[in-house]
Amino acid sequence: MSTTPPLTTGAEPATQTPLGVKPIFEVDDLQVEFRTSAGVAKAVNHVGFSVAPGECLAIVGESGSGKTATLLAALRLLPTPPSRTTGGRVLVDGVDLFSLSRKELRDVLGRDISMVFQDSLSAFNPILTIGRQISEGVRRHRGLSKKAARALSIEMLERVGVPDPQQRVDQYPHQLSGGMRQRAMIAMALAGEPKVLIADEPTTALDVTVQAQILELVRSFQDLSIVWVSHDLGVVAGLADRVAVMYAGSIIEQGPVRDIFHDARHPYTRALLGSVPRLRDPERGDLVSIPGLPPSLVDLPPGCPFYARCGVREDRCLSRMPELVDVAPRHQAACFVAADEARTA
Amino acid sequence: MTDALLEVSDLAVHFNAKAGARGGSGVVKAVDGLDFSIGHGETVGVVGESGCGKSTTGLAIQGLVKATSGSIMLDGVDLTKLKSRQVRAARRRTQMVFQDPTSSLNMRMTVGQIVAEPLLVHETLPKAQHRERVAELLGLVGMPESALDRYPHEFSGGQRQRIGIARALAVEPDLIICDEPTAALDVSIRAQVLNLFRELQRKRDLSYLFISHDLSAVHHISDRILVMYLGRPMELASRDTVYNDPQHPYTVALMSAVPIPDPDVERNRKHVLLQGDVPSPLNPPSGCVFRTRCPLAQDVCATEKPEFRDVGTNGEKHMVACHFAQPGMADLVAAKAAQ
Ligand SMILES: Nc1ncnc2c1ncn2[C@@H]1O[C@H](COP(=O)(O)OP(=O)(O)OP(=O)(O)O)[C@@H](O)[C@H]1O
Ligand SMILES: Nc1ncnc2c1ncn2[C@@H]1O[C@H](COP(=O)(O)OP(=O)(O)O)[C@@H](O)[C@H]1O
Ligand code: SF4
Ligand code: SF4
Ligand SMILES: [Mg+2]
Ligand SMILES: [Mg+2]
Repeated sequence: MSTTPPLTTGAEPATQTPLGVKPIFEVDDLQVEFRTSAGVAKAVNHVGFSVAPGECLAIVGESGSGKTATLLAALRLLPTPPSRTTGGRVLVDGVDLFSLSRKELRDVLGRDISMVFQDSLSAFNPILTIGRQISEGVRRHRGLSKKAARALSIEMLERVGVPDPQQRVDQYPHQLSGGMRQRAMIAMALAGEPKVLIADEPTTALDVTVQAQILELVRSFQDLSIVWVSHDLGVVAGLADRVAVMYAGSIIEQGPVRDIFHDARHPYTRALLGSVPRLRDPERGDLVSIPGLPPSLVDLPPGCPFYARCGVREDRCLSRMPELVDVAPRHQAACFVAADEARTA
Repeated sequence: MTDALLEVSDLAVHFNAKAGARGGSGVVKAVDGLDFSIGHGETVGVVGESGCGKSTTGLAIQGLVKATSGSIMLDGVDLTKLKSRQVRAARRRTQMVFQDPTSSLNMRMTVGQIVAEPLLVHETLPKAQHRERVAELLGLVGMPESALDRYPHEFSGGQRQRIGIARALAVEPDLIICDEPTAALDVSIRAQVLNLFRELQRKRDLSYLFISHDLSAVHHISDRILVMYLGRPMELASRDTVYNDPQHPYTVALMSAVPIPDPDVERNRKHVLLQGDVPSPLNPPSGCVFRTRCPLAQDVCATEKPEFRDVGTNGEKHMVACHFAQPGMADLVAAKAAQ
């Protein structure tokens, strides 16, 4: 990993949290590349965000926009090669993850910060019981005895609503239904009492009924700081305090959840919101569809990455990548036109 | 409905299942006692949790799995009783579009060959005219003619789904069975495909059976919605009735679980949470199959199977399978669930 000093981007948006509270999790100017057969893909480009204690930040964006790569690179979980983190800084409660040894990193992961994934089957070791896997983490991170760790595993399974936790604790991952396994994964992630939970589309593969159960569960952990990745705007609306929108490897807008849903400024965010059918819509016009496709990350155009699909583009949008600038209090967008509108408003 | 294009009556599809990880062996009633119809130019959406029999229903209509009993009438012809030489002609009238465009398209064939394949099978057009017809079909789904000689891997997911739709349209079917056609697509691309389905319907008077997990998409595109649970029909009514005045507790819970993309609405509404998971289809509950998760279940629900009956008023057919079906069910369930 290289240690390029972080570039400054825009008006210091990355570290803004409500009322100057010290963030618990901070990603600053993160850059990640992948070596592919077509060339070097710039998957994450100067991404920065921060999460205050007890806050839930949602990251939304379409597939390939760099959500997973951002999170995995931040926690140093991406294999090198093919990936390379070429710059940036990640702080968990003030500790710089990029400066830690592998061993120190292992201690932080699972204790201070833990992660849940879309696919719970691959998060578990198939040949170990659920209880054994939850216990292992808490024994290491919290120094519990075998017996105490088992009791805690059962308690956590109960807490996340796995039925018959006394029996389930001795079962193997494949013996649980998808919804139950997802709960068990959350139990495992939370057993070490982390300060930050990173969740990458953990309900995407589930039925809406089971998703609703999981969302209710997550909402019940009120003090937890959360980064929640989702492409489902409904889920985000119900969970997030703040939202960051990613496009082609960059955050192109971020702000408080109500601002993003009711007062989006970036043309991409606006189009995205218009493209979802809504259960409440009594009549049905055509949905907003964004023409074309996101640009190839192997040769990103020099200007705004949304240029080719943007309905309000101008010539200047090709000159350089627009920076994230304030368009409203605590609300930033990376768009020349949105920035002008905010200035003249 | 007298002018129905498709009329499914008392359809059952049973599978013999081997003992699995979840225990038990015997018969899976993937679909049981299913009644519904689709009118000309109508879209019927099918929703329900994973494993409730949505795909099996579509496959049975397309003749890709065998109906155990019941009838599937297409314009008065029972598809389950066709003689083999009649099968091909009837099959032309229904076509399927699947979830994953990559696995349903043969990656070694050109787009032109893929779209022309049904034309070859059904011999509806002299071969010399195939290329022209394929170009026309690609135009219809918004793909350039230059796509003809390229391969599917050169296209995005949304474009591949368009290719799949062009192929389904090739033999001018009356009914297209769409099984999770947008599940693999991103929101902005999903919007393109949903708009395309509706545009084609306006142009061609097509009927759709639209199977999806995505209740918002189903609600957007459907005229009527069928709600299934463990292979059985729970409720069938117009999209507005299913959303605004559902009379089945399961429909209430399902609709309530769909998150609404508006923070002011989503944070202030009460969700009806169902407990646990769907029971094993090898050992479905007696009486009403929904009773183990139903907040309103009574003793009678364990002993008597509720009939799928019409509770509609002012002319609209509104089918529900619940002993306690009644207007205002959403409030009733919410009150009960809050206790
Ligand atoms: N060929 C088969 N042999 C045995 N059982 C089957 C077969 N096909 C389907 N089933 C079973 O029938 C039931 C209905 O399956 P089906 O695929 O129709 O569900 P679905 O509603 O389409 O689910 P999903 O939303 O996951 O696609 C399930 O219990 C399934 O396991
Ligand atoms: N292991 C990998 N090798 C090469 N490219 C990758 C790898 N993982 C991700 N990418 C690329 O990085 C980009 C961002 O991917 P990802 O972070 O997974 O997106 P998201 O999670 O937003 O769907 C995509 O273009 C993807 O193809
Ligand atoms: S910077 Fe220009 S091209 Fe980019 S989103 Fe704004 S208006 Fe569109
Ligand atoms: S019949 Fe009984 S168990 Fe079934 S849905 Fe109605 S109230 Fe619930
Ligand atoms: Mg991802
Ligand atoms: Mg299916």
